Amino acid sequence: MRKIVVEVVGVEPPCPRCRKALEVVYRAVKELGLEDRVSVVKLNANSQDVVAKYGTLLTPAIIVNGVVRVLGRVPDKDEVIDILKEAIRSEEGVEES
Amino acid sequence: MRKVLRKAKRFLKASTPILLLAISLGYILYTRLTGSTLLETPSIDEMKVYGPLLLPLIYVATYIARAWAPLLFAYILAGFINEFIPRHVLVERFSSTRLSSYLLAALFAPLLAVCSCVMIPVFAGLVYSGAGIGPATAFLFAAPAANLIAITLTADLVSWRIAIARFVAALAIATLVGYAVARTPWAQRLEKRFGSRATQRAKVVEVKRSLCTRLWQSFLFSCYLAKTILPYMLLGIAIASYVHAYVPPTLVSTYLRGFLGIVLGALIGVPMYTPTCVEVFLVNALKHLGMAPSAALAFLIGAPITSIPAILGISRVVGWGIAVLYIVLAIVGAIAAGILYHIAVGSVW
Repeated sequence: MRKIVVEVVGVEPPCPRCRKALEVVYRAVKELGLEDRVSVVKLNANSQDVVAKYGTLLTPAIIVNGVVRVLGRVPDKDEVIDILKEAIRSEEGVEES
Repeated sequence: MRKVLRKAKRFLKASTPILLLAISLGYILYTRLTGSTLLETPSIDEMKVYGPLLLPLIYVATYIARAWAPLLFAYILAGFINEFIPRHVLVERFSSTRLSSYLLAALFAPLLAVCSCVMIPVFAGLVYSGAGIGPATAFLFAAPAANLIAITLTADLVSWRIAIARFVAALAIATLVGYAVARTPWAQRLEKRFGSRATQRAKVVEVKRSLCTRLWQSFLFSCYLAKTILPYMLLGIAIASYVHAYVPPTLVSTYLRGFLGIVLGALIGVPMYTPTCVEVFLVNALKHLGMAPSAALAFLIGAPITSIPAILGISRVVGWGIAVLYIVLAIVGAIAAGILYHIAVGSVW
């Protein structure tokens, strides 16, 4: 089973909203019990590599398996749960085919 | 039963920001149309009687009684903008070196960055993505100088003429400063360095959210903004109360009038860190002490931009040369705006 990579882009040092976004992601992962399937990575918005790779100019941003899902706002937990479920579904679809 | 309750709760949550927006707008219109405020505000001499310890408290309370509606309106509106305007689409339009992107960057900056901690990341992002330093600089200038909440407050507390002048001048200076900075060899070197990198444009795949959720999220953002900005603002008002009560009027009318006043107005922001919106309260205090409107305009444009933390932040992204040039041009622009106001409008607030 492949891991789902959730990248949270925020400014460094973290501003309150970026911290909040990260916290929401952790809570959603915990609620779904996916701690060992999802790896959460924190990225710095002011890094050239991150901007070049994803084009994220607004923070916070949440990127799941390389796709930008949330940009420039803090989502609520239910939204992140939906996003994670979708990611799992598409992963499983790939494995079946 | 539980389902009905949950629905009612969602509806209540969603209508909160709309209701607050309506109340604040209604109050603003009511006071404008009837010319009466619901609360009688004491004069500074009446407040001074309470002594230096109570004075800032009463002063702050007076401001809250007077300015709660425009403030509330601005915060809720900022929340709506944050939630409902597809900001990343706008930001991508800045990414060219055409003149139109300068204007767009300046015009939309106040809508995009209501809170200053957003500005440097967007600026850095624009520079790194090879977007052209010109529009990025125009954005950086216009965001605090023509800040939505600050302009609303300026119109309400200081005068609508100054508010309009502040907005128009900020846009014009932002475009010019951006244009000038982009022509320097430093900027061209940077553009060459970052322009060669292939940059991905953000493709956002959003989950569908209901209108109720989005309204509530916009309200949460308003609360977040208020929580970050208000403490500094209240502290700033408290300090303004001492300026208002204890700075001798002769000092203000000697130094903050005429050409000297405009130059000083544009310069005093540099050593002084003025948190968002505090410049408006300071100007309002100085206005009563005899500051000239042209000097006030120079201060309102210069102060939010030329603080030392801002310069440090910029220099980390684009280097010292551009940072210093940016600040010098900002000060020159603020002085020019003051002089133009003096020629065009004179000493009318």
